[in-house]
Amino acid sequence: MTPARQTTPTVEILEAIAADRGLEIDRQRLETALEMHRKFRPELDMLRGVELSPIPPYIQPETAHRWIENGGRLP
Amino acid sequence: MSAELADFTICELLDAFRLRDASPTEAVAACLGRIQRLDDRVNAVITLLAERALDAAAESTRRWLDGTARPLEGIPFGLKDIIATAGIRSTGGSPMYADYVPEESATLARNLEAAGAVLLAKLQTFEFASGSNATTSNPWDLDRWPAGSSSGSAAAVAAYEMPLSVGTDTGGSIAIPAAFCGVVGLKATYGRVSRAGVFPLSWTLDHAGPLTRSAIDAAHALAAMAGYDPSDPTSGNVAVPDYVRSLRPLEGMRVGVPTEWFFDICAPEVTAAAHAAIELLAANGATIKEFDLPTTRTVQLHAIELTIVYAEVASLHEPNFSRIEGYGEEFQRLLTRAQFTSAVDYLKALRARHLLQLDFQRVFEDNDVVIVPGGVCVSPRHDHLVAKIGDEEMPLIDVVSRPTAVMDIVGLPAITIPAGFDDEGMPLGIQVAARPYDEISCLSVAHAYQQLTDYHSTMPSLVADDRNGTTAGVPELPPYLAKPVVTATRDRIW
Repeated sequence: MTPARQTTPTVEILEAIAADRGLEIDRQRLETALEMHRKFRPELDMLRGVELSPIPPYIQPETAHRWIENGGRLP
Repeated sequence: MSAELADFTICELLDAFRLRDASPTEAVAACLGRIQRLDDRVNAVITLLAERALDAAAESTRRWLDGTARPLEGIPFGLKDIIATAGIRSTGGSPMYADYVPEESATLARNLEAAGAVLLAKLQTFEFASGSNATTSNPWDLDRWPAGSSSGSAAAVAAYEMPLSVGTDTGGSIAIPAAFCGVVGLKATYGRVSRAGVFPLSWTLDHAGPLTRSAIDAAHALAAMAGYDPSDPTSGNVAVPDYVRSLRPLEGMRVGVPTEWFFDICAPEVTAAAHAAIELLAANGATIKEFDLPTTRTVQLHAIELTIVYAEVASLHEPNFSRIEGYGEEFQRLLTRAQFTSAVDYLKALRARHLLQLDFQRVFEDNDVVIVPGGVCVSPRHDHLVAKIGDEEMPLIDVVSRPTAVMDIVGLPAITIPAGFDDEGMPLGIQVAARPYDEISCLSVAHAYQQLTDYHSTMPSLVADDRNGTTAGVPELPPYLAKPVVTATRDRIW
């Protein structure tokens, strides 16, 4: 399978996302947010690359809490 | 004796009260005196509660005399200012809530006061426990960064202004200030200490716990703070043991040492201190076994931490986003970036936590505790916020939470303890972590280590100089005690 083309957002893309949510964010703030995102992106890509099973038994967000409450084991 | 009461640990104060060698009123006055003399330089205190504390101390003194003393009767303590206190300004470290006065106290604050502890002050914090903008100084060197976000909580204890404070930890906000300021910080298991009434940063990762000058003091404090709280939906319904009486000897304790992640980016002096501690534990009966963490090879833990914080902070502060200028600049940047976090990424981060938990499940099949660094470096200078790793300087914010955020992501209890000093006399810290709800193993190893070393009882020269300059006998009350003091007595700029 051909990997999807990866690109980083632009200020215009962030502006559109913000507008879609009804948020008014000035350009300077958007540029700062974009800079932070670009710096973070390689780590985020690694996280996105983690494969988690879609079939049972699958990990849910609550799994982590159950594990903690059960003393570090699943019930 | 009274002049030295500010130097006493919780255990020493309780003994002195029990033997009637000192009273809570004298202890509180001694701590107020220390604050008055040192805090203009340390800047750990946001709001001083002198009159309220003296009133409470008088009640504690009475209780010691009539035999109704509670477990922490008369122990002065401070709270990070993201912890709500009824009728007392609770700012969250934010200009947005500069004048916020809650109607109810946080459960953990109520628990401590119900145990007889005396609230002395609200303490400095980074805004909503995030960022790096400390106006507090490290008592070991006033030009140095105390870390945060529990900056005031760690500095107040390190400056011997009080024997107990409370901090919170989302990525290392108890552990790193404890390591940098040379005090003990106990981040309890996720859910062990109620966060009801605590300003949230990230409900998935936020923890609370005590900062003290010894492990056994932390055991006393946690016993008072911990417990199930129906008003916190993430509170664990798990019985609270008697931490002090349950401490175990080192003999036979199984100690795990990581072969990856924790020491990969770590200053040589911190690594050396950790390994020296491990050797000392081994020489005194502990068994040592190395372990690996395979998940750290494929998942960037920083990405898990940041993605969760971004999503949850954006959701929490959504009602105020149209007034974003009301926040501090650093928080404004965080909040703006946070708006662009996808739901899929957030859920991936939440689910990926469990992969790391499974790694630790395997680790704790063979080990009772693990020993890892408390910080990646020593406290940097305020004007040069970098992590110095050997000859290399790295961006502090990128690496500083590397050994600590793991504990928040997994939810493990972890105690940070002093483990030495670098060539410039700055503290070095290590963490002792255990399986969820096994704070007893953390405390046992930390306490045993402190029976073998004296790093935790070494005081900064700032405090030693103050102690030497203090006249023995009953101290004079600070001038501000001569007049009525209402709740918010001192304004500080964050």
